[in-house]
Amino acid sequence: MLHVLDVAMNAVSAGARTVKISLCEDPEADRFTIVVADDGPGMSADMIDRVLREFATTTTETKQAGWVGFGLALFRGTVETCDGSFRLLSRPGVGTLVEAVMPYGHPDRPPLGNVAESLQALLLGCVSINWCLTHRISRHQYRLDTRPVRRIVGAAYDTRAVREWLLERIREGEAALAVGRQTR
Amino acid sequence: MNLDDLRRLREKAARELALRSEHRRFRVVVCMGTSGLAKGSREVMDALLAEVDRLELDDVEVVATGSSGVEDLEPIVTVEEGGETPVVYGQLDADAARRIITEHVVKGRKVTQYVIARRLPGEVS
Repeated sequence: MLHVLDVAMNAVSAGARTVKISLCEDPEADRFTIVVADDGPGMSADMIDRVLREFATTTTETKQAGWVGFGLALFRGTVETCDGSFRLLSRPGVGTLVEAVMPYGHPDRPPLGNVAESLQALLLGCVSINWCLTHRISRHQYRLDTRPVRRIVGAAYDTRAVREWLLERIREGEAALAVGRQTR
Repeated sequence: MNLDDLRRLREKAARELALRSEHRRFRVVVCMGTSGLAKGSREVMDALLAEVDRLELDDVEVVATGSSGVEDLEPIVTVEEGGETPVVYGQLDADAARRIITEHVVKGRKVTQYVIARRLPGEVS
């Protein structure tokens, strides 16, 4: 989840309005897919090349790269260590999409960790962002899209009542997935 | 989630909003860049949120931001209060984060052992 949070925070820092995160665990097909897509300012081909190289370069260049440090390079490093594939698609003015596909059972694949706690940090720490979250394990999945919630509650979106409600949706979703995992 | 659920939520949230004072007194900013996350800023964020909710502090806003640029001292949290000089805390963990809420925010006592900087309002960090 660390990489997921990191990429999502890149999107937030870059000025995205909507960030979509999809976590898809498919043990049967030995595939684990993470997608983070945003509608931020996007990056030029040159910039993409730079942010992925950053890990191997100096801090001066990191600074020149602007808002992106070495997070994406680290993420790609993790993905490649477990024989996965990493894609970074971005277009200035449209947005950015990061996709990581890894073999589910690879011994070097870091565990996803506490999904609920990680998602809640994003959801509640960045209330101005529209979050669209999907977590799937095999055939079970849940989805939480904050856009309809925001449309309906309006200015009262940033209240404890809404925060609690959103958290409850995540907990509920994760709990249902945990049951699904056991009965698989 | 269904529409009735959301309508009920809207009513509840609107009541809460109506009771809340116009301005929030505190803004607690958590750096969640790459290094912050690697050093536990997510746990710090969750601890701050949980404490604010536990104590029902309606005038406190907890927000995430990107990297602080001071990797060594992450996790970093800045407490901003109205016209006061913001206080920057560093090298925090969940316990320290909870103390920032119970001591600094609630009682007005800075948790000095974690203070790393004071910044003047309007000054670029």
